Amino acid sequence: MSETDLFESLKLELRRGSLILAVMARLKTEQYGYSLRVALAGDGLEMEESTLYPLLRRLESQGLLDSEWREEDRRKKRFYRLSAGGQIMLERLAAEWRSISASLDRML
Amino acid sequence: MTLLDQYLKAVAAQLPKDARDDIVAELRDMILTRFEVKEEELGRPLTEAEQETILREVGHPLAVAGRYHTGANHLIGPELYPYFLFAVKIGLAALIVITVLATAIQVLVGEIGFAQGIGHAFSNVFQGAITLIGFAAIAGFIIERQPEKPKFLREWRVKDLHLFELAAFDTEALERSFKEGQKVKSKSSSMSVNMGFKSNSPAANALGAAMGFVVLLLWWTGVLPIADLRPGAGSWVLDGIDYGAILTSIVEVAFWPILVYLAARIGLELFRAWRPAARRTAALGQLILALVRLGGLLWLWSYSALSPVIHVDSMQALIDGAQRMAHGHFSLATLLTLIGLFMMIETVGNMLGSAWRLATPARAEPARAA
Repeated sequence: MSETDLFESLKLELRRGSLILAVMARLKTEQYGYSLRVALAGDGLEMEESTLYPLLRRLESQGLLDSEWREEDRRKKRFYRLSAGGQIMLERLAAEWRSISASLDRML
Repeated sequence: MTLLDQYLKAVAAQLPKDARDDIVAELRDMILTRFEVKEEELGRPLTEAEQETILREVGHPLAVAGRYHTGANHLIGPELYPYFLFAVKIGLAALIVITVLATAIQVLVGEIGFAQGIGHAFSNVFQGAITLIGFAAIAGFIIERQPEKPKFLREWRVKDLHLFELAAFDTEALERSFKEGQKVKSKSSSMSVNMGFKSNSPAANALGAAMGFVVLLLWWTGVLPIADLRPGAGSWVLDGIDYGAILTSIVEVAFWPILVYLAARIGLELFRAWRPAARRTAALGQLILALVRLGGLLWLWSYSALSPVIHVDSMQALIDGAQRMAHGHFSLATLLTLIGLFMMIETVGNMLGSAWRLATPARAEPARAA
């Protein structure tokens, strides 16, 4: 494995967990799949649809998101939003993230 | 049918029924949005080729549907894989031992020559190994899909890790285990026969024994092609005795009883691994199985097709035969008689040991309780 490949693979591992946090944070306001992806990209976090859509379904099945089908721009779209349980979970995860980040900042 | 419909139909076919319509509707919206964004960028409707490029970017239908799969995604996951590999190693070791023994007997009775024997052994080990790995993979596949991993995988104890050291086929570990076996032997006041090369952990011993009996069972049922159980009359003749016909006749009569015995033995060994503390229940099982084994050996001695070959009327006849062997006159019949007698003595010893464990309460084991 070349150095670049190794970097890409380690970067992917590093990003994996943090993307869940980003998706949950962005869904404090209601979004549908495409608008969420654009919003994340606008924040500097590009995410493939093939990763994002199954993740949304998984978070919903875990009770962290609510969703509803609604018509917009002459087409039915599925809108997602953080559930009440999701909000509590996000707060806990954010605290954990800050603690990890502070520890790493001290080390790096 | 549009290109998009065709694509979504291929995805839908791979999705679970209950979530299919929902996922497909969402994918349709996502892809149509991408089409619209591209159309806005170009200022014209997309051609079919451009649509196909976008669909290819979304991913192959199998891969897209696969990402929505919620169950296990591995044949054998990384958590279970080391256990799978361990089981395969132990199984292969047992397979090699059985194959070498079976081939040695075939060469000894003159059924095949030495060079042919080596060829047979290699071919049998190769075929047997493929079958064994296949079975282990099926077992791993099933365990991987259980809601909970079996108890003996979750609740292990440091004391039971002996056998795992041996699986590395590392001579130092073998030597260490042998020495520890010796130490236990010198300290032990129990009636159990210590074979030297034996770990002092009941769970590890039981797991190793279970694996060995699984290989035996697979051979007995014909799944592992180690050596033919029914070679037929005239195939193994030595000193005027047709061992091929004898073995075939014994297997005809004893096939099912031995199959049931092996299955029961595997069950008992797994029980011992699962509940090492249930010493008396295991002892009862061992006693019953030893009784069955003794019955089988007595049948072999007195009533089976082998009986006329191995049965000796007096101790003097046996001693004479053993002396002749010691002077270089090899006789398979005498060797079988000695093996039969040794097995009967060992079985009686085993019964006495089991009865003793059944009758006495468990000894205090401070290290184990810790």
